[in-house]
Amino acid sequence: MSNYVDAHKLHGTTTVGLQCKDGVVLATDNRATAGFLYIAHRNVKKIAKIDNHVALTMAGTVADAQNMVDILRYYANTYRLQNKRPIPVKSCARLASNVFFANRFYPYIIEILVGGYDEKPDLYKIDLFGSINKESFVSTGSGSFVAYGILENEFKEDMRVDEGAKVAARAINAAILRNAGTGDGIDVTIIDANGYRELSREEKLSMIIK
Amino acid sequence: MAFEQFIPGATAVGVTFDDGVVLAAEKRISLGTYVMSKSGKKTFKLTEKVGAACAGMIADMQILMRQIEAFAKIRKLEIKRELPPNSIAKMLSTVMFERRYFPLLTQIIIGGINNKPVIYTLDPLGSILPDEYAAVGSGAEMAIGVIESKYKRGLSEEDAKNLAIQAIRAAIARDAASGDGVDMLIINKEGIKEESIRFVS
Repeated sequence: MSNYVDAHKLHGTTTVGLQCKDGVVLATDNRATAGFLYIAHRNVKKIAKIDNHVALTMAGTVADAQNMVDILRYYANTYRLQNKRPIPVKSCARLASNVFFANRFYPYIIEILVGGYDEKPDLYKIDLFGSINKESFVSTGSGSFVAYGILENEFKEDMRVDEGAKVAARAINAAILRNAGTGDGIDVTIIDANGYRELSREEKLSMIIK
Repeated sequence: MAFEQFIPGATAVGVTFDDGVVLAAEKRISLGTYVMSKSGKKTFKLTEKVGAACAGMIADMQILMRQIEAFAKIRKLEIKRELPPNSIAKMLSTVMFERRYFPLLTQIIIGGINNKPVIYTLDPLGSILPDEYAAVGSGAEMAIGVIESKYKRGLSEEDAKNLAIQAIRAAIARDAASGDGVDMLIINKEGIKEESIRFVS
């Protein structure tokens, strides 16, 4: 039976997260695969807004990731109402970690990046067992090896978000070209002092054309 | 144990058009290579204006659909208005994800109108993905190829119906687990129409 589920559940991805001088950049592709490289969906949103200052990217099982988003949104909203201020990005990451660890013996099969802006940019990678790693640049998913090739060469700690967005988009684009589990389009989101913003199609196009 | 062999294959498609949605599924229920029924029904009316087409284990989809139909009725009484398709999809997702450890073996396409026509695809664990057209089941590869080559925005109802039938026909031609006919739900602002075609061999 688990074979049936394995063949039909949706997964596959490349995601990138960059911590820049003035904000955080998150980028993903838009492809969902089922079983072995069957392209089940070509327009998936893998960046989910948790609150106006924090978002996550998902790689892995889509159902698990969507459930994690629901949980984090619930806690972020509750936090905002109870404490009269938005949830710190670090707390959001810790919450996700606790949810992962609570399911230690039947894990959520996902790897997430939690990125956001509270006074400063902040970015974490959380794996399926609940480990938290603070990162300045990071990639997850089947195409992460390709993306790292670009990131290792082009990422600089003192970048601004507009420069970072360009690097992120180019990293995803490289993964699309060289990883069959990745493809169909790019989403780029910037989170800075002005909040959460998704880049338009034109902005993204101008970034990947050299 | 090769349990998978006894999970029926199927093909179900969903296509949005101008002012509605067509959902279609073929009628074969097979057990391994044995055709157990030629008159299975894998399309379901969930509310007056939201429908579903399914693939996978018949028992699981039937129980799930009856359950959601009931939940939708209760919720409608609570909120005193019609439930939009996105709410139905989320209800399904919740019920399916609750069974994360022992999943319901079915893939589902939900269709309806919420300002504009929409369909949602759900996997056995309950992920929700919105789209303009979709195909699920063992014949999905063949069906999606046909839809993808012919689909454009603003199809008429007749065109969308024909496209859905054509897609299912292509799947039936090359997937032994699919066959025998097509059930359709045509959903527009007025409500749901049901149609059925039998392929005699």
